[in-house]
Amino acid sequence: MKLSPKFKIGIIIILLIALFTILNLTPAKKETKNFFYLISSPIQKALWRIGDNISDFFEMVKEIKNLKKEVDEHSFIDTLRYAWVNEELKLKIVGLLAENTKLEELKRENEVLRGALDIGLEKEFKLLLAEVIGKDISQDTLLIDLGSRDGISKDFPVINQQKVLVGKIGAIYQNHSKVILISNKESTFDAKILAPYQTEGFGAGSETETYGIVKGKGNLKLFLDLIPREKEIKEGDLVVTAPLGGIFPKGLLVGDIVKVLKSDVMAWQQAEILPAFNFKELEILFVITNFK
Amino acid sequence: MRKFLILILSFYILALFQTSFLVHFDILGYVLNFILIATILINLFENPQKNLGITSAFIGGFFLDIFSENFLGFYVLILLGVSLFIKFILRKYVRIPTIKRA
Repeated sequence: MKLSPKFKIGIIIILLIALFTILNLTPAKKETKNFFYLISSPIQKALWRIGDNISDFFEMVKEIKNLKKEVDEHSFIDTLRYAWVNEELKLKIVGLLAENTKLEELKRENEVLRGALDIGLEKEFKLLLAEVIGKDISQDTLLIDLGSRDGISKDFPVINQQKVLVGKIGAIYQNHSKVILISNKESTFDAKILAPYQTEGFGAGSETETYGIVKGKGNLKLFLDLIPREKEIKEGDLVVTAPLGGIFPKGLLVGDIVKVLKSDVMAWQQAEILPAFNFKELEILFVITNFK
Repeated sequence: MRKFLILILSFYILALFQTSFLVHFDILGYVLNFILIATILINLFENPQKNLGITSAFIGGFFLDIFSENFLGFYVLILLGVSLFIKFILRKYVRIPTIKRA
């Protein structure tokens, strides 16, 4: 009996679907992926570094082109120096903003619980250093070089060196883990909006606390939803993690509001957030293994 | 067998290149998918009666699945669908003119 080509293709596709279904439902999927990550890790790291260097080079060329336009006012060397100082200051500002929001959180907690003497000091996070070895922009995920053998578990928060929230641990393999970025479509968590005057300490702890839910929109975009209509929010307001969900430590910087979406027909306000981390600059991350 | 091994090695290197090197050079947030392009090209330029294109779709899809967050088989099925579609169009609607000897 000779089978027709269409029939053969049909059978092959059904067999493939069955094979992949079995693979996905058993630990074989993890084992297979772990095997490939393990053997590819050295090549991936090398390719990653080369790509990073080349990309940095092009960024530098672009910056120099922009700087040449400013040469009319300053000498070229001065401009380069200013640009370098400017970059450093920008990094410091992000770091200070993150630090400031955390300090404000602590200050508020301190004010509320001043009377309770038996309260212990907030423990520092226990951190593990991780190196990024792969990125998938289309799915908003990263691959890091820490796995189950390093004590990593699912949903551990991941931050960068400026204490900015990056994401959480998704799939874990023996030597590697996937980090689901906060901009991933599956990512949802509670957040608090801090108006600028709250971050500056003036009026901190007042009744104007505004909460919302941060949802990943994919493609490195974030969205703040379910903000009560009566609350006043505006562009530039900082968004930090709230303790409500319990997934992330409170007070980690998420980003700042870039656009407020409010209309009469909507029961809630919404806002677009610009993440505080730069996806291209994510190289070294910290996994929080313990927080209170 | 040699073709098969070359395909495996090439797609493995392409997958690594795509996930570790090309991510630094995204265009508006999108990274070029060389495996998809290679699969389409193989299917377009090989003899429609042969099956190298389908094999390459399977291998390429498998490596894309390995280095992505999707379930295993996601890209395999997409690439197989693409290559079967190209084969179908080429077999049914495209005639490549050849010169026959008298």
